[in-house]
Amino acid sequence: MLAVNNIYKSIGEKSVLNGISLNIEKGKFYSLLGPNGAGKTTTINIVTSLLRPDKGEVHINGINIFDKNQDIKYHIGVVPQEIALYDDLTAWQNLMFWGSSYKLSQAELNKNAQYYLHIFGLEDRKNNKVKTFSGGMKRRLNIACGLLHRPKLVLMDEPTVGIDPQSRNNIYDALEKLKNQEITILYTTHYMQEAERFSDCIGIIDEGKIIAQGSLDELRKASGINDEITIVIKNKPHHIPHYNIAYYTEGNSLHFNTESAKNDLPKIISFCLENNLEIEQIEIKKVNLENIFLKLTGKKLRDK
Amino acid sequence: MISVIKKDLIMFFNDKKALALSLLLPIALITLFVFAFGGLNKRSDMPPLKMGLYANDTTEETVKNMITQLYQLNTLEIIRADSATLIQKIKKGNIAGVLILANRDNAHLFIEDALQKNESSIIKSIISPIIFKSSGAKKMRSEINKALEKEFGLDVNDSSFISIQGKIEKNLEAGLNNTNHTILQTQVINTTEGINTQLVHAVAGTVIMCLLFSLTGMAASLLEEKEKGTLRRLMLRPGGINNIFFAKYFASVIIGCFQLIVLFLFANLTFSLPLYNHLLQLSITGIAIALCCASFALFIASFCYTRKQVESVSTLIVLIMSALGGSMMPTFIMPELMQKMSVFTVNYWGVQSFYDIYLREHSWSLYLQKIVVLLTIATILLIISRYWVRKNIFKII
Repeated sequence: MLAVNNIYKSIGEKSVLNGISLNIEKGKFYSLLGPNGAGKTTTINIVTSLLRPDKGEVHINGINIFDKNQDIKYHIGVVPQEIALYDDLTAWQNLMFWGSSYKLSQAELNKNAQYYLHIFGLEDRKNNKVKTFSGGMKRRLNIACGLLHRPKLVLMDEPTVGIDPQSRNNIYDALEKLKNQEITILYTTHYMQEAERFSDCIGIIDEGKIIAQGSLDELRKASGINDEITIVIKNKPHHIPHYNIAYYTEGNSLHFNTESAKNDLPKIISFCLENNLEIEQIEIKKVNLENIFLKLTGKKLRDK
Repeated sequence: MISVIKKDLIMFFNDKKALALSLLLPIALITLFVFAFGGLNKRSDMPPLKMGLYANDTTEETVKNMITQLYQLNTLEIIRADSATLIQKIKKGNIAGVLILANRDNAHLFIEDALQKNESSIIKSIISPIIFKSSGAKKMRSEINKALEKEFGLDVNDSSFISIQGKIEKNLEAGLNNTNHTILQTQVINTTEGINTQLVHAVAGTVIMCLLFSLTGMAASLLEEKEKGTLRRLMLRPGGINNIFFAKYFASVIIGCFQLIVLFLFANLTFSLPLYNHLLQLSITGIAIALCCASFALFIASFCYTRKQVESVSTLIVLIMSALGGSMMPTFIMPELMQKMSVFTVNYWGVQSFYDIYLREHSWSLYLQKIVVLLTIATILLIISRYWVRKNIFKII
């Protein structure tokens, strides 16, 4: 669906993108994770043809977007990072305006607007001016405006920044629905749990390069970080038996490193019981995206 | 493009406060300028100027005649009092000058207020012919008699002297009274048939100035959209940046035309400014001015980076242009250099084209020349602003 091939972009003297390549198959959810200034928004600007790369190509459905950038816009939906709405217009007027350039019939536009107002829980407020909305409601409407023409490819640039948990959950529900509709999504975020929850593929971008990409499992393997299971036992044993899962002791605790805590936990419990180790407490630290990100980039993301 | 124009118009008419201000402020200014320039009268005749008059001896025939003739002038309001009272009135600024009529062969005295030089000059020019016809002619006779006596050696009691003197006086009298021998004749053109020139000036000048202000605000919304992120989103829609640029332009033109219609209707209803006899010319001029003001507004916005910059820069430039271009005061009372500079302003050509419609009796071709100038200014400013808007405002990074 979307193929970005070896994109380079410099702004002034500064090199912003240094050979970005990514492929998103139809109906997949791709999250682009990276710290501030990593090149996420520049990548989105290039994919939407607002910026031309110095080198490299972008294809959507096999069409070079810079050859037919006006045609391709009909198939892309963009949800910008800013709340790009008109405060003095009502929610309905905003939807009608943003949906009006996509060759939709009025009936179709009305139907889609009603649908997304429903999905984002804004039906009751459709005739209210946007300036009366809360930040979360504006965010939800901001997303709805990008989806009105039912695009095949949706680009979302940090759409959940700075909103209340209720609105965030509403957006997550909407994202689930979009995934089920086989819409291809390129999503940038600072929230690891969003990327973990929805992504079929995650790309980690830093200093204009994608340093790793793949599913969460693939990234974990690439990073070399394992799940950690800690067993606290009542009395420290005199003899520590050998076991085929690597572990080390620290006081009354046994620390196990495992590729899958879920698979290995029963085996470890059996091992403890067999060796008369009385279990007092079990602690599991699963590998998450944050650990992987930290390991791969040496940096923390802005938000957790 | 139509959806962006529609959106801008909805936003303009939705904002009731801004809409009211964009109409009420010009209405208040028009009213103020109409009062200030004396545009309330049907015609633009000046009110009579006040002149003090004192004559020591009113029994003398010449003085009597002069007073009668002075009272017949409808451009002067004569105030009679003793000289001390009249001088006090000058000092208080109540009258611009006092004419003190002398006895016999003495010179008359005109006392003028240094602070009202213009008014006193006008009064002097009004009363000069009367003074010349009476006292001047008398003086001239006396000089002729002296010349006859001195140059030709004629005795005053000589019959030939009396005969020559009689003939000269008779011809002089006839010459002074014969209008067929007037040295300077006056022919009036550009008769305005009851239209007050000050009213036309106040309405035209103010409307153009207010249009420049309000449309600059509209153009500044382009920068506001950039700051808020809606411009980027607009650029992501199919259509391209020309669509956005020209949609903004035409939305401004429509709003400009709307303001012109409302303000001229106000002037028609309140001050009886004629509209319906000149509807075609007014429509053409209105559209040309709206196009020109919208281009100017985009031109100002294209050089700025924030809405606040546009507001401060445009206030300065529009005020200077309005002062130079004749929106605030007629250009003919300005120094020559400023008059020359005024042709570089939108206001000048706008005001002149309204003068053509209401006050001047010349052909369509001369009127259309001003429209062509307005359209040329509009096109040049639009081309420059299109270039700079792309460089400054539509730039993503």
